[in-house]
Amino acid sequence: MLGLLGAVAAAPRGVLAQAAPPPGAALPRIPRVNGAINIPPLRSFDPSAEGRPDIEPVIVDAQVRALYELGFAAIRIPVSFSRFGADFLAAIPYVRAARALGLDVLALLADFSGYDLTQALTRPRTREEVLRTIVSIFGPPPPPAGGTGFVGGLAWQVLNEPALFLGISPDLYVQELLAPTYEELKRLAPEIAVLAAAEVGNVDGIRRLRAMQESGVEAYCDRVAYHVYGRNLLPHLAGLSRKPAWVTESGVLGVENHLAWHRDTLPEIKERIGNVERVYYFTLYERAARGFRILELQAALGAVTVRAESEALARHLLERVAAASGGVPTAAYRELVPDIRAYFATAEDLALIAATSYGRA
Amino acid sequence: MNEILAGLLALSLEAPRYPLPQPPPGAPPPSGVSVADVAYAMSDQPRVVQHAGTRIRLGNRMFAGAAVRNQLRGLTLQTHRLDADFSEELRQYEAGLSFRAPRFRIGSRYLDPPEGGPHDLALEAGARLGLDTELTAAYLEEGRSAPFPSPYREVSLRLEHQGDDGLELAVRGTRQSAPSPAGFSFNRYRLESLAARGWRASEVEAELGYERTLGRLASNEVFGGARVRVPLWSRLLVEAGTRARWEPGLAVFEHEHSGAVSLHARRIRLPRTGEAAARSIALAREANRRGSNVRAAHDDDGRRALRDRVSLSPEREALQGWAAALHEAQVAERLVPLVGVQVSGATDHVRGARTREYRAFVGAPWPLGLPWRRDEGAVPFLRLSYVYRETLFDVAPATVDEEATLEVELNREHRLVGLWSRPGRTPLDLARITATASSWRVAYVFTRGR
Repeated sequence: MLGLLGAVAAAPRGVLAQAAPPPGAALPRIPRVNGAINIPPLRSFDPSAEGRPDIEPVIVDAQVRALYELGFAAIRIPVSFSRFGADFLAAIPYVRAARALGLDVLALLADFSGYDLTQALTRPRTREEVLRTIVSIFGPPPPPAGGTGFVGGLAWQVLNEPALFLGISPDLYVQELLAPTYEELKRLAPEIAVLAAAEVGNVDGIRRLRAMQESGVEAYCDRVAYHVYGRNLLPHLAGLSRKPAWVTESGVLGVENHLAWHRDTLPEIKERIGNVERVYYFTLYERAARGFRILELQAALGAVTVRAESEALARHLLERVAAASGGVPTAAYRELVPDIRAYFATAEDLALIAATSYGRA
Repeated sequence: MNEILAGLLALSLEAPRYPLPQPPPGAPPPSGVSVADVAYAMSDQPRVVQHAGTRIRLGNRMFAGAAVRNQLRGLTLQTHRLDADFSEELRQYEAGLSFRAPRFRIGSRYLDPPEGGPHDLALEAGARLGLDTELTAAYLEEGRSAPFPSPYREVSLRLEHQGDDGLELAVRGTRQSAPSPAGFSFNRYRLESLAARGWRASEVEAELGYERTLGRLASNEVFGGARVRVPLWSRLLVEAGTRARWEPGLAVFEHEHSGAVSLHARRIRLPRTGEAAARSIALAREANRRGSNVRAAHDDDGRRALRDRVSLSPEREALQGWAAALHEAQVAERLVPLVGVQVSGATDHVRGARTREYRAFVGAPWPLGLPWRRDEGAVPFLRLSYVYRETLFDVAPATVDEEATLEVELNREHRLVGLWSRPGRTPLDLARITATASSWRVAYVFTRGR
């Protein structure tokens, strides 16, 4: 059990106590009352593992468990193409396990570095091949964790901050990358929403978002996306789009500021921009300490220790979960996910990849 | 002593010399049919493309021209009052027609793309309010295919005044109606002012503007810039410029700064400060008094076009002296750069790119001489220039472009130009997996009366 749950046990019970479920009935899951959050598809603590296919199940398990126990309703996770390499495979268990636990997943189609994905998306043949494989692997919903309950939905986001990470201007992003990718994704899986990329979450991003709008971004997505790392951006984002917007990253530097940002600013973002459906807090975990992350993860003799680095925010999240539970016992994570490896890439997944030109290479 | 002074005076008045003989500046245009321009260029980009063009003077009535560039074929016609051109390239047709009367002018341009694509249309009308002042109204329509809901449209009104000391003042108001492929249009209003003039031996240019976008992309932006060119110790030219674009209360989105220094073989006279500037405005005024409806120019090509235009006037004989004086001053004041460097930097926050550009050149005058030697009779002969441009991104790899040019002026009218360039791979090239290759271009240019 994660150390975080000590806080849950100590938290006051909700005012509206509910009756315990009848004996033999499955316990309800932890209520998903804490919104959305970004999560990295971390697969190893060893930096030298970047060139190796290692995916350490304990790391995946620890992050998915934290998501569940902290009561998040949705995650945004990079699905790094990396020519269907280890980073791509690492995203599979995160997406499947989260959906199985009832969390909605926004799969960010973007490479951590390099142009492999954009190169694939600019050519019709590889675009169709790569997207078809991604849709085939991530699209089908997993069975619900614990055998009952609902399964989280799925949405795509096409690249991340393209001017910053790729050097591609907003108009070219819309015309050369988003438009054909959107059409292909909708052809392959029309029921899955497609988000445009957000741009960097400072004042530079405002002009880039306007340039995207001029280039017709709303014709090629179901939702637009913003990143908000400053309250000064809010007046400029209000009314910018006609389609609903998701703020796919928002956070603040410094653990001492996290609670106020999550508790006060995230609602303010929704209120002041106006058409925001979701706000994804940044982030559950990143390597840099005392910056944006809530949790600190450390390797410990084949296991992972989890510590709430952003203590005030973690306590706030746990208190909200406890209050929403109303004293009703909830299903323990381990009961729902006895073995995270059940969500790892299957032989069918690997066969799909092997059938692509990338797999054959 | 008097003989020495007379000899020095004669030396200073000696016409500039070139390796090839040439007619003196200010000579009247040849009668009958004569060649005014010839240009031939061959380039490898990446396949070999040829470009040939010529312009013929038909007596004192008109210029007629023809040009071929790869698949493009074009014809031009110019009289004192009429300008017309027509071109075709892969079944895309473009035609332009304009007419100028003493107090007004009208013009239009139409582009008809192949297979029924949306056309482009430009209309312009100008009213001459005075010898130096013109009011111009323009309409532009650029076709947009589906899913754009409408063409791009722009209307503008421009008031321009020219005066002594190279003075130019202009105010322009523009209304743009820009469509988005997402199915909506937005309006953008812009007011900009431009000013330039010579001041003693220096030149100053400045611009200031305001742009307001309405609707869902609402913004208020301000842009401004200034450029100054100052000769020091008569042969050293120092240039500096800056330009910025920002949204008050939000951020600076673009800015650029540049600085340059160059050494010249003879005394520097900038285009807006010397005799040629005065001659240019004097010729334009005199031509306008006689109904030509033209504007002064402060660059070589513009001044030649002005002289060509008035040479077709029914009043050409009366204007010939003015035109000749302009040509002589223009030639006498032409810069003869020997060596120079320029550094410029720009940041574009929308693209997320920072550009650094370094330019350097060395020139050899004719007659050949040591670069630090002053020679008031020198003319431009050889010039080798090199440009290194790098575009930096936050995460993406930098793009490096290089370009080198060798220019040989056999005389004022005959030039040979060789160009080599190596464009770097942009982020979009990396995304598209398109390779870039170095290319070259060689050209021969004959320009009568340059």
